[in-house]
Amino acid sequence: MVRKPDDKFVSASEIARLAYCERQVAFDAAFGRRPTLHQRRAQERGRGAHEEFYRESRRIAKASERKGRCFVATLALGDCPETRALRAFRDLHLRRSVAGRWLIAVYYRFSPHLCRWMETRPTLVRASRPPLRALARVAAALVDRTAR
Amino acid sequence: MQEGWSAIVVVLLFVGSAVLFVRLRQGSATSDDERGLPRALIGAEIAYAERTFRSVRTRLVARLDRAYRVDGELKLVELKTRARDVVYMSDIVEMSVQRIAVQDEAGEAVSSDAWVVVQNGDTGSRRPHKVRLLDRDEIARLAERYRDVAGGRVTAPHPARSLSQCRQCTHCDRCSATFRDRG
Repeated sequence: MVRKPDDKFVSASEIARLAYCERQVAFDAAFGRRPTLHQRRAQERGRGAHEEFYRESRRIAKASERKGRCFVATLALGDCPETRALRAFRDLHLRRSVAGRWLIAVYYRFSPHLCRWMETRPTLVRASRPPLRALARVAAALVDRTAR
Repeated sequence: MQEGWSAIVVVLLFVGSAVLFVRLRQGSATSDDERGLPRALIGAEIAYAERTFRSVRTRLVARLDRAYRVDGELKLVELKTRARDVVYMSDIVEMSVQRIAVQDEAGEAVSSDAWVVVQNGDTGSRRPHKVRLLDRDEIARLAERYRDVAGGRVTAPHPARSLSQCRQCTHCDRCSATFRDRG
């Protein structure tokens, strides 16, 4: 089946150009797109900034990955509603203040060592579950209160 | 004697805190990487970066700069390099299309609030701007309009809002000759 031209995918940036000038869209479609020297330079600058932004994204994602692995609650409880409540508490409450963010940073700095140390002590992992669950219940209550 | 010990403890605590502070700052690879981001997204998990999404249903395609997963939904972030610290309607349209494409391809909930981070072209400094995205119906109408304009089915397409925009357009002479209102 031959697809009609209007069935082609349209990109977000093309539709966005409509908000800039409809006539330009019409002329570009009829005569081709011809960016000025100024626009080409701006595009080049934008490309460089985006490449840097992407590199930053990868570094942030890598850091998040590291953080995910070292969460003591995940080690003790696995990925469950309790650990999600603790994460929500971290995101909704702790991240909102400078002191909270500092606490998170300190915690993520030391928790990998703590996790490694705990991994070889199953009794300690079991013993840590009840207090962690209690903490998660408090966190969940605070998160629910914020959400309401 | 006791005062001497207290002073030593205080000095040791101070030195220890300073060392910890410096190590934390050096170790946090993200402190500079997260510059210009809103507070709500600092430290949040990046779900997608520089990825293209397609909505087969609406025939829309979009490449997003970054999407964070926060409280069970995705928050879109778009970087723009500009001389002025402003957000344009075209940014909102572009991100609204991204939202639909991500929702349809990934099947994840995407927040109707998004962030445009404007980077100054000269200084490199960044500032975040919160924007409210358009809904699916509005984008469907715009996509339809785009297809009509690009397909030459609109006899009187709207001009740019200001003449200064026209001065940067390579079709300016052609536009003036055709519509006679851009002089």
